[in-house]
Amino acid sequence: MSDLTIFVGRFHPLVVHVPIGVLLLLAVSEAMGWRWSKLRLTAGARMVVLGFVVLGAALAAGCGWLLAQQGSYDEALVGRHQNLGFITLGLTVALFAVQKWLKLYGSLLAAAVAIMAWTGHNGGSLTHGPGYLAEHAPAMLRPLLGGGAPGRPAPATLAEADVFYDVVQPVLNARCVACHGESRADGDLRLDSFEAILAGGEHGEAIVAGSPAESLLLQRLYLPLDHKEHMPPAGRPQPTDFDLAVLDWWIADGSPAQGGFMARAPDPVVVEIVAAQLGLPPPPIPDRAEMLAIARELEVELGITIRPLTTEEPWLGVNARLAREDFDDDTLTRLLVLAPALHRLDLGGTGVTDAGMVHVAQMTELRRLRLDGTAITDTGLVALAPLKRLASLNLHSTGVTDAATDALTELPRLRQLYVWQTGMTPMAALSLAEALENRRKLDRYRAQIAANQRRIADETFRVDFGAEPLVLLEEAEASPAEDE
Amino acid sequence: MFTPSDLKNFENRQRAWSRRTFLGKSAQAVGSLALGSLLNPSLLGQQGPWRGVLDAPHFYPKAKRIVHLCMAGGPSHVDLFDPKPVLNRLHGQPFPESFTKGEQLAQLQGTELLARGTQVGFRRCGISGQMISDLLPHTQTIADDICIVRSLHTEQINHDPAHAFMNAGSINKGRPSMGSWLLYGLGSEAENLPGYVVLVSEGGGGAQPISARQWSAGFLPSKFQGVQFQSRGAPVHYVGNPDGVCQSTQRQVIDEVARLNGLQQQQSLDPEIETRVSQYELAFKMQTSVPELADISEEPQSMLDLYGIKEVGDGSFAANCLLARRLLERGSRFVQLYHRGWDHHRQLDENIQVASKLCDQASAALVKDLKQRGMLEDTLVIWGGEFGRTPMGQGTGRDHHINAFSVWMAGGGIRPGTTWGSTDDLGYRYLNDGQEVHVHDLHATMLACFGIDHKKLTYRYQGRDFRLTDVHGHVVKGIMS
Repeated sequence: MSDLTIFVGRFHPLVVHVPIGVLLLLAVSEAMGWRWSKLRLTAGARMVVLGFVVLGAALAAGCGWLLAQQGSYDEALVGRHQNLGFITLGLTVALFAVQKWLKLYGSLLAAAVAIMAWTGHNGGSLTHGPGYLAEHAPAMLRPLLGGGAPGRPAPATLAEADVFYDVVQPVLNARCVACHGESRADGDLRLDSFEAILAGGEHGEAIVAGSPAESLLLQRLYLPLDHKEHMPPAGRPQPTDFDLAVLDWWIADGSPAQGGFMARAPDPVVVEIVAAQLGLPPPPIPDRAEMLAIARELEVELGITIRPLTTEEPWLGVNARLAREDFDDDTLTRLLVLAPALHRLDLGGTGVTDAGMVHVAQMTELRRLRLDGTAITDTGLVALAPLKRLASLNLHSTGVTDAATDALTELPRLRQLYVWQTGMTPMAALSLAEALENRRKLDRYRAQIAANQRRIADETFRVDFGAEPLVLLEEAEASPAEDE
Repeated sequence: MFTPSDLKNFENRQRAWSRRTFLGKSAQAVGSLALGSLLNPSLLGQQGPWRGVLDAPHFYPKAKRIVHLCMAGGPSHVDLFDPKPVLNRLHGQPFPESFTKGEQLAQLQGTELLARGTQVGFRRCGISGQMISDLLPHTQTIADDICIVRSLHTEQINHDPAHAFMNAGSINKGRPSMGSWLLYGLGSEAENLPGYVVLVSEGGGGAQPISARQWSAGFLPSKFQGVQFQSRGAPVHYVGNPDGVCQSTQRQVIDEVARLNGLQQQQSLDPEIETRVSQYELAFKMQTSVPELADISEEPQSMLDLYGIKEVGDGSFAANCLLARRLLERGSRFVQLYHRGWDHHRQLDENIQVASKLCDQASAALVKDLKQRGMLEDTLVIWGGEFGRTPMGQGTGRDHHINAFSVWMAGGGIRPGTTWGSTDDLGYRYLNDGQEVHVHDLHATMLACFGIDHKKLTYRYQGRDFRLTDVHGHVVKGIMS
């Protein structure tokens, strides 16, 4: 396959639309001439126009054939498009031949237009992926367009949204699947299913779970627009920052194949983006008055304090220390109604045990958690992995040991960890701190790369022929996204 | 129960009780109120933690308790936290008149002003590289946990008014201290100990008296005032029952007194009666809580060594620091430790060593101890005096100085490892470099650490709204994390 064939082949989309337009115009003119004799075409005009159509169709078919040789398309679809194209070409030749027998000519013309439309639709499927027409069609039209009902009903709430099908796959469908899908798989890479993504393509694995920076998929997306390996190619619809944020988050979170989106306690930013993309209201902030009313009752009943942290927001801080051993795992379940608003929870010196940690794990909004002086051990900490926002964890004077480090590494936002008077050795604590620090560094590094590359893509240069040859117009601050 | 709205409406209600309404309503009112309290005696007792006037902090709070290590007398900033090489070079020479002309002086009035360099070394400490004097070797080890403010300045040049200014933001009598403001705003989470406790340590000599008005609640109901504990021996005297009185008899007495007080309270609406009722109740609870608080037998020897405590209950600053930590652990909102003996008019070189030795180790130990318990992240620590000392000598010492002095802060809401603000080359005056900190600014910042907007915590008294910062104060955002 020489470069020249590809070069010529790529003229197919340009060339093909010329005879299409002219053939349609011809059909319209003939129809009008049949109704109003004044408008009837002369035989000469008809011959010139038909000749032009035949030539154009032949040229388009030739380019198309060259393009099809390139490979990378779904063979069946390309074959059908190609056959239909040649039939259309044949019909135009026949039209040219029978232009004098008007009856025959009329029916042939109608057939040519119909076949041409079908061919065009197949061409569209090649470019935009099968089902492209039905995809965004109004629901009532969808069955007519062959799209059928969508495979999965759109989620009605964020809580129902699936992390892959409703969050990640739509982004890939919109930006990638046209060229990396069923009908066409450039670079042997398909991105239309979870299995296909994992399989990767001719350049290897597309994603490395947990590490966006090492994932080829994101590397290509982040490359500057004018880089030849940037994806999607310049001219194609580019992913928005929101799309990038979603993919970045998904890979960083270990690229789960399925499961509830909200259950993974995603960043509020990502939640907002996904809510907007799915056309759903953002997750409701718990009602302050309602939360406070419950809190007041529980305070008296349980002998603890539950105080709002600010005047406007519903966030609460619980001090259960006051109830001492009376506050146990069962009492803990009473707090679950407040879980969406709980930011700080002090269980120090209470009677909670490892068994109670499954309840704490449901309080995914927690920022500060104190378990000092309780019967908690390494076993209980494993359950705390869903606390993705936890910044401070107090375990002093508990039974935790070095074995807890693995579980603690699962808490990405952890900044303060207190393990004084526990079985954890200083070495283990240090290596844990390092692991968490590295993870944060990687996050920051990633954010910087992303910011830089987007900046490079947007940079504007001005050439000045004076003393200063090149002046950077906008020196956008590459601001690393600092957490908290 | 004593609610914030009662408090706010108190004045209005007082006015509402005109003579006519009083005479008209008293007959049935007294009867029905008495009945009401008989039916619900729990209305009268002070139960456990109580709320302040604020439903919630104005914004996300970092700190929930504070310990103020008040170095009474005025520690010398140029010998502790603010090294001045130029001043050292000028040592013994006349102090430039351009600095001092027309300035307010305390005891140095009418004398020849000579520059006095420092006799101690400074070193960069920790990763943050903050400069701390060799007089404070233990404080040097917590350099990365503290924020040193060098540009603090005050308006009062004598001890008592300067303490009043540092505590209440005003020298006028009757203004509430900052501890009282905090209790008034946020209430207390201490179940059976006062929310605001004051300890005054002994030792070191040269001690100026400290007046109890420094922890007064001023025009706020006296429920919010600081409670002074004894630092030598038992923190509170006579908490045990006299012979022949058991705890249940005591309970009955307290309940009956509370009931009678309640009757009076509901007639007169005087918050002072409510205060008295809650004091009785608190005192009753303290009969058990105070011995438990003071019993430091559960503290290991290593803990005593960390603070440098030689003898338990010896009245030393070190012992008070440990007691302060135990109070904070038990929910007290504001603990204030006074150490007198920083007033070095004479023999500064010797005396500052004594004072430093008494305070340095325990102050640093308190920060370390709070940190290892995970309490430093929501406990604000403030270390400093009511003013500084002159860079001019006063014989062998230094005089009072208000134009610049240094304090350090740590913990809840404070950015650690930062030195904030500067003084001129001679350590005489803070620089107007945008990092100057007035005492009002310190108060505003302290309240901000608790999530309180200092402009919004007010109390109406004699027809106008008062606040801790009065009409002043800017939050120093640069030292907040």
